[in-house]
Amino acid sequence: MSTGSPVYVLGWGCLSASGYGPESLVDTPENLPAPSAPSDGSVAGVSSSGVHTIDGFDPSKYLKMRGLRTLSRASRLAVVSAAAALNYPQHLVPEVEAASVVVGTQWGSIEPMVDFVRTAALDGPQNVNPSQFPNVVANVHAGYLGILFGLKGPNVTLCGPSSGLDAVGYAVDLLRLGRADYALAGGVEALGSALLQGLAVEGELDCPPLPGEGSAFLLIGRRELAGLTAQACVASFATATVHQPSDLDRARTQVIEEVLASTQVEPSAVGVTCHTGSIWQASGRFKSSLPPFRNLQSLTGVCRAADGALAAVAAAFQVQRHHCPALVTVFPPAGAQTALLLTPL
Amino acid sequence: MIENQDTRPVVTGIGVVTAIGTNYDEFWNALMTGRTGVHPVRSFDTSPFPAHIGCEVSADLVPISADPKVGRAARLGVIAARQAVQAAALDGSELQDVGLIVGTTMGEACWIEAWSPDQFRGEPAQMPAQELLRSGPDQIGTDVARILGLGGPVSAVAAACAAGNYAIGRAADLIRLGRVDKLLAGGTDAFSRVAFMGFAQLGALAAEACRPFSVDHDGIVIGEGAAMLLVESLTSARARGARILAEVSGFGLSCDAYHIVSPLPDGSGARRAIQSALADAGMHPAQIDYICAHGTGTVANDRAEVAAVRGVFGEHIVPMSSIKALTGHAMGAASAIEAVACIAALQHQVIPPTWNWTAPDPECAWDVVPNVPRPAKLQAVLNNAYAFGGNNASVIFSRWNEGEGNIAL
Repeated sequence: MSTGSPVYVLGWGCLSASGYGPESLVDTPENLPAPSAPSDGSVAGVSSSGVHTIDGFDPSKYLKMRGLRTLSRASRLAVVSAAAALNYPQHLVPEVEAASVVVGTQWGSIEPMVDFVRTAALDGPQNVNPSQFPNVVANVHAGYLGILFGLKGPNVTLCGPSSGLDAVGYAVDLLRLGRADYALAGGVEALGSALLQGLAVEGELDCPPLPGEGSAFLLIGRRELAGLTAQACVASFATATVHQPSDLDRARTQVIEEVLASTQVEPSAVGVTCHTGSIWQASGRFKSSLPPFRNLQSLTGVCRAADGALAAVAAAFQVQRHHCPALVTVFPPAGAQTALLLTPL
Repeated sequence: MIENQDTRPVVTGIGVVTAIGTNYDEFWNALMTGRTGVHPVRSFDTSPFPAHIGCEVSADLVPISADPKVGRAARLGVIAARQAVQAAALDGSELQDVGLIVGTTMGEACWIEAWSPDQFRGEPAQMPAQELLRSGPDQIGTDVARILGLGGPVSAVAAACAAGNYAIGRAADLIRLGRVDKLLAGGTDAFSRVAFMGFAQLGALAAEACRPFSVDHDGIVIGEGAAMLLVESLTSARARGARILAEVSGFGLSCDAYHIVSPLPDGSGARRAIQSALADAGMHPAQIDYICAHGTGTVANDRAEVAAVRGVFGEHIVPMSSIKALTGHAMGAASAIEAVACIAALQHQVIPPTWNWTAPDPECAWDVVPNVPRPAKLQAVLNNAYAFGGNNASVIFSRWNEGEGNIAL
């Protein structure tokens, strides 16, 4: 990430099975007993009791906004967190053409697609609801965020298990390149019966951490907005792609080194780590100098694309609270390994 | 990474597979002769729908991967990516440094589309639901990178019908930022019953033909395909003696923030994307010699696009054409396929026409290059793409004027 004018964190919002707001991620004891998988071993009906679902989710519990009825569950989850990040409706981004939206999701449109095809298969294609068609397209969440909050800058959707944190890195690039002055960046993932069925077959309901759902967004910008003061700085971001398992340790160490070196923050100065993904122990010079990696998945479940964004929100909140650098890491078992460093003002 | 490099992004390889041609030569020949890719749909029963035509890539022409877990969109992407790698004269050892950004609309819908009514009707345990886990858009990038042996960063961008331009623009940005030297960037989408149903229910399917900007335009023809560009830094291209086909001069994004499926009628959102691309390229509108339109053939899109173009270019009537009359609308691949048309136009110095045009729609009054290829002096071309969610993306390609870069492929 190139140096240049600072990028500030101006707001945040998150929702997961652990609760609403970053306090639900940092003030909850990490070692709560994990929800257990369904005891009868079957997945028929896909009981939600064994996974980190947001039971009884209703956007009206969190904000007053009309026009959400036709949105998918994932889109509604995204709206709730985005509204918090934007401090909606108290403060609105004034320069809407310079305000970007970058959303990461992996499976956000899959359940609507299953529903759409199911209706066609069982009731006939002439009975599919055209208002549900946009929900099968992966960029629908970002699209609705643009519409509902009037954000007219670049509107981007990234896909993949770590795309929620990748979205923050992409948004920083947009700001650095002058393509936007502000960005709502984060991730969303929603669970449904079809996805849970698939995850059960793959064995992902067998032991913790179990699947989860949630959403999280940061509002970042190159300067403050009226009523939205900077809470932290987005200091650096690094990512390394791994194609072989034998390269995982090297890549993870590499991205941590990059984010620290580019800001000259010493590992011992990092006060907080917020981690998601594979359990990993830092090695070498980081072994004793970084705080223990705090894995949020024990609270939220495995939220795929939302994981990294949840960790970023937790970290930003901790920076504001403790006035120390916070390291965010997303280390999935394959693919992109990503680190983000947030620093106090 | 090469030090002291010129990070201008240039295109050194292209690959394209569409209903009008499964390689560059066939594709360009079809654009010049009007050979259509529109045929009665073969892959599923269209009798419940008001339209029955589509632009499918023939199964006979698309070698089926030996891996049954690789979806059709990824297979199309592999074909295009291999062509681009070959055209760029990269050997296998060099692919370790090549990344991939793939644009798509829905990912691999084929897995879900293949489920039978009984599978939906039966117990949840009977649903082959694990296939769901392979249907996300990112799976396409994973599969293409694995099959080609790419060692660089891999990402997937979902921007519906603008995804190809998003991928190409992001590749250009990453190269400018010095993060990577070479990236394959483009888009792929397979012929989709979900898309067919959805657009049918929206009343957006053309009855007989796609007629962009024509008075009798009545909708889109669903298509499929893939296109990939090898985008690399100028220094990297020069260092290995690559043939440079074009420069990615500029890229612009905007969001209508208006409606989830309909474009802003006044074209103001699309206009901002064009203006952003021009600013990014450091160009004035008068420097654009040709516009490759999004041009889907729907009344709403065609009129909004002309309004956008008029808002930028004013009285400077830049020739604008849509190739979707022949290729159909290949969804996430469309703007990548159109990028290939842009580069080909620069190479051949000929504007591909808007085929099937009959008479002007008064609200689409513009030079749309109807039905006849037009030789022209082309230095810079603009590629527009617009999508659900009000996602607008414009990319500018410039002719490369150095040495022998300007020979036909």
